[in-house]
Amino acid sequence: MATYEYDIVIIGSGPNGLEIAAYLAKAGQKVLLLEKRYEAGGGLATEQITLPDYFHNTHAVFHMMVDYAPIYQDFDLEATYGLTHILPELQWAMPTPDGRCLCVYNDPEKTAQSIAQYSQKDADSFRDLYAECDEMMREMLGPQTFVKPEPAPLMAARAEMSELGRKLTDYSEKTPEDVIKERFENDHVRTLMMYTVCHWGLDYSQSGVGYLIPLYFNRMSNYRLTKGGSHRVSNAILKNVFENQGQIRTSAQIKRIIVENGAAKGVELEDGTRYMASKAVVSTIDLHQTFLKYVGVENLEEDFIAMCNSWQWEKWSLLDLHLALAEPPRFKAAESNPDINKAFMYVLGYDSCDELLKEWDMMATGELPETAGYIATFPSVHDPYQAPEGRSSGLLSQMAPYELKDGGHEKWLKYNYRKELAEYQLRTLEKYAPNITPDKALWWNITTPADIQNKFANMVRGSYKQGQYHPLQMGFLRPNQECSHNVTPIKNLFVGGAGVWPGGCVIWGPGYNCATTIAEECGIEKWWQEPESVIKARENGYIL
Amino acid sequence: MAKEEQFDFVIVGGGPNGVALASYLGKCGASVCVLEERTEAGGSVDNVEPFPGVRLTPHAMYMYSGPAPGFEQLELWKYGFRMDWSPMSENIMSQKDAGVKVSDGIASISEKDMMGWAKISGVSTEKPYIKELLRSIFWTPPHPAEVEITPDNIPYMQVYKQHDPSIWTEELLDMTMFDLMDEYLETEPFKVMQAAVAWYSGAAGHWEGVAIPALGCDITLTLYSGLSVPRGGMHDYFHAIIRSAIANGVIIRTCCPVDEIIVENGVAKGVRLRDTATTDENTIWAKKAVISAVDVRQTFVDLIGPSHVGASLLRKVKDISLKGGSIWVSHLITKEPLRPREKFKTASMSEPGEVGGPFPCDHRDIYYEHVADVDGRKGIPSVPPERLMWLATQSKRFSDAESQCTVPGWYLESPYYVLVPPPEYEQDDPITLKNEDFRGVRPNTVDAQKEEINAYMRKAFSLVLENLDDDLIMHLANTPYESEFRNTGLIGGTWCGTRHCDDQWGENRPVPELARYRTPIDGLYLCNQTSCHPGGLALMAVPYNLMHILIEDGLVEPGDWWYASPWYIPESGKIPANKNGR
Repeated sequence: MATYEYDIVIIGSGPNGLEIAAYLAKAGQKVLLLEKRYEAGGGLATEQITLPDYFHNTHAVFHMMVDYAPIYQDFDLEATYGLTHILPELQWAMPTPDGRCLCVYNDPEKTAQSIAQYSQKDADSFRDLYAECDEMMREMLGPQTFVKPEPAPLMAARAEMSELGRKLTDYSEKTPEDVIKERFENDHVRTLMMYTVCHWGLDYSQSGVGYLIPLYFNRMSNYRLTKGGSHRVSNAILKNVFENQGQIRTSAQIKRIIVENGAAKGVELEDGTRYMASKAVVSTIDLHQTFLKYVGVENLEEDFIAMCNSWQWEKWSLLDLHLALAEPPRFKAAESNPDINKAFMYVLGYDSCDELLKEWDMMATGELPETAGYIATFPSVHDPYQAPEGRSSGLLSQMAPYELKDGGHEKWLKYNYRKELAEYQLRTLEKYAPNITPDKALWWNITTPADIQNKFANMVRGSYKQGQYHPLQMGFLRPNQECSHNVTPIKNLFVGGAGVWPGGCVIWGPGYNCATTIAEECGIEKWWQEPESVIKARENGYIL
Repeated sequence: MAKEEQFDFVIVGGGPNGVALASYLGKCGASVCVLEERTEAGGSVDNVEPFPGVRLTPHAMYMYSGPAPGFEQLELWKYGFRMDWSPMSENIMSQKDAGVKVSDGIASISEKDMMGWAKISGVSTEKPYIKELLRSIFWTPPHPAEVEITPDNIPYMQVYKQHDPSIWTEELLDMTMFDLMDEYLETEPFKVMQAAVAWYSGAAGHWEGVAIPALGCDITLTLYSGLSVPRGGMHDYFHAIIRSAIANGVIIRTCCPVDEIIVENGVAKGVRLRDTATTDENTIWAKKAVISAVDVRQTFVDLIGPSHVGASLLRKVKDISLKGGSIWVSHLITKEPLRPREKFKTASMSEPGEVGGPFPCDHRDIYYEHVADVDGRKGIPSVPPERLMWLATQSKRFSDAESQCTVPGWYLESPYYVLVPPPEYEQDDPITLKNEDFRGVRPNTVDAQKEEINAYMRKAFSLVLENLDDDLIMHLANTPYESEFRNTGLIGGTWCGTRHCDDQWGENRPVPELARYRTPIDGLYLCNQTSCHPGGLALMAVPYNLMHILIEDGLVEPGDWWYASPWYIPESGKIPANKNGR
């Protein structure tokens, strides 16, 4: 079988793989991306899965680090590729049973005013919390995303040296539930805050990863939608890779990472084709496949194998219903405030915070309560391209366990069950937006946790972040102490996917850090400079 | 604020023709912008994942473009193009052992069949000339209107005359493909099989005057490529084209639907984008030319508008039949791999045996019956399932390194093709209907019929497949409706645009006035399968042929990498596109 020579061979062409390829191809390296699916982009997918002219973002929809990720500036994605994002003014809306609606705006003052309808005290508390989290995000958490993590003791020692650091340490010890119940008194306010903070899979009762609370709290009002659909982001980056002579091989089924004398030499496909890498093999897929399946246990120490085996997948995944709607929804709650029809995300189905927590508890045991709520979004309201004129695209996205107590993960593939869930979700929507009667859903397409795994092999058990956000799997320990700086026990093998610090959800951190590491380790001249926010945070002693 | 931009060339439509042309132009040093309506360029050479973990090529699936000069001229190899060669491609004579599927089993193919077939296909001479033959059929622009078409200047006639004069007769120009086969082949099922392949490829075995183009459609697939597919499927072939375009400096804008081709004083100046386009610019000017790589009807009726086109041309454009065959594509997901019934197994097959088609090839009556149904009616097919002629390629044709289906325990066999009559929606004739009327809705008729038609198709497939009914998990189908509305240029679900028949071939395609890719509007050229010789099949032929014309008009000047078609005749008063002529 044929053998081909490259400098860098990258497994996976999701956001991180593309990012690594783009940085290194521009640095003059001969780069190859290997992708199992037919199309690059991973979770950055926009597909016509319902009716003609409806473009659905089938995975990543809400982009949260557009204002921080260096890739946008380093490649001038906006000017060069016309890549634009929409920042809806009203970010979250949660209609409450009394006919009112709790809103989170991009503008914190407007959010505080909305909260004040429910509780003046909570509104003040929000202002304080917002100011605090905003500072932490700007000064520490944002920049930290794009540098390597320090071991916990060193990080703790560094945090002790500044006031901001000490504040963050306080958060770290706490659970989301602690923080939210401490700061807010009104039950609806608590519900919305709890949902938004835990949205990406943070466990409400988990302590030790509390530094994510201010991060998610800040990001709550900074979600963006890609104009034209999320796939445009991957398209833009892939074009840049091509412009710099990088290549991609789609539909590639990997057999193994070729390891000789403890060093990675290349990647072999199932058909025997070998792609040799003179400088680096990079994996952006999950820990298990990378090491246990492709490197092989014979090339690894026992301790390392044990670390891989103890990796925990996420507690819940997503159940997404994509809708082709005859018209945009008109929410009952909009009668008092017309803004509400223009919200980016709606939290629907939770009348109390207890209900939400109970639902999460049930999910932990594999139950999917019939009354489960979800978030809804209607992208074409903000970007008319995504649906035919006058009509609307929609997504109802609900947290859901991979393994169902009753029926296991196989049940997710049963048509009748899928149909039942879709109908249930639509009924809930109709309660809030009465114009969306069943006949207004012209077509639907459902994606269950099992489907996520079947589509993206690295999202094991529907783990869209490649693994839980757990104290033993975060920071310096993501994915473990040997690999969180993107290097591995195998020489010339690097890791840079969502399972590596700082984690998943298209935040562009793992890929950026990995590209930097490879440049340093392989003596490749870095054409890019650290972002100013990182330089400033370092000067302030907030990061290494 | 609306902004404006300027390029040498603006190309409307990012399908295989538009992007390959862009790459050619970029390679000549021109600034080029391609505007694609969908989120992903690729047109009908696309891929979808309708069910997570099941990846399909809903449309273009087969590799017809093997002899294209584009592989060399655009250096597609450099941009990652590779083939997965089928075992058949190594020894084409091995096709003889597989036989032909007829109702009661496998019919054998005779020595005379193989020899005759090899002879007319240009592979039996000491030095095979099949590549030259195919290039003379597809990869050469029609002659200028001032040149009288004679048997001596028709490119493929020249090739036969040069390489195997025993085939050359003037009668070739009147024959059907069946006539030709009757002369050189022996066994009826073998002839029916070849005619079926040609028909599914857009040129029928029974059309008069296109025996050789029809043969070309067949053998470029079966003989030249040996039914092989590009590595990663046809969409990966497109990937190589788009990579070459990007490397040649082409700007490709997705999510940019075009509303209007701007014409001022009879000259195409640029395009205006739809309001929803994902770009700040709403007007893009073309310094040299606007190229329409969307279908001929949209180009003249919707994008330019009647005020800029004469009434008689507009009438002719509206009259062009775009019903070149609608294909119902089935993708079968089963619990066990599909197996053929005992009577369809031959000694040479490895287990579990061949489950492909075409079937049934008993006699040309079956072929004619199916043709009459498809060409003569609209709506649900009416041929009895045991006489429905279907074609299939197996997923197995992909190499082991492919990843078509990644749902554990599911097996995918795909695609099974059936030519069907054009769909009949509830409203008027879809051909005269503007696509917009169906935007975002799915006619009830489509859904009402889909399950019924799928079941009927399975009945037909099950005549060969032993375990389809027992093991079926899911039957995904790409209907003509889906083809039509996913790819806006495939009106009526047509695959090849206008058919490759005599009055829509060469100098007659799509109408004589437009045959050389120019239009009555200065600075507007055509580059789509419906509007240009030689039509569909993702051949990279339209862009190659159009290049001759753009060179003639002094719009580009390619470097040494360019070579013109040897059969090309320059138009008088223009700059010849071949070096010898200059």
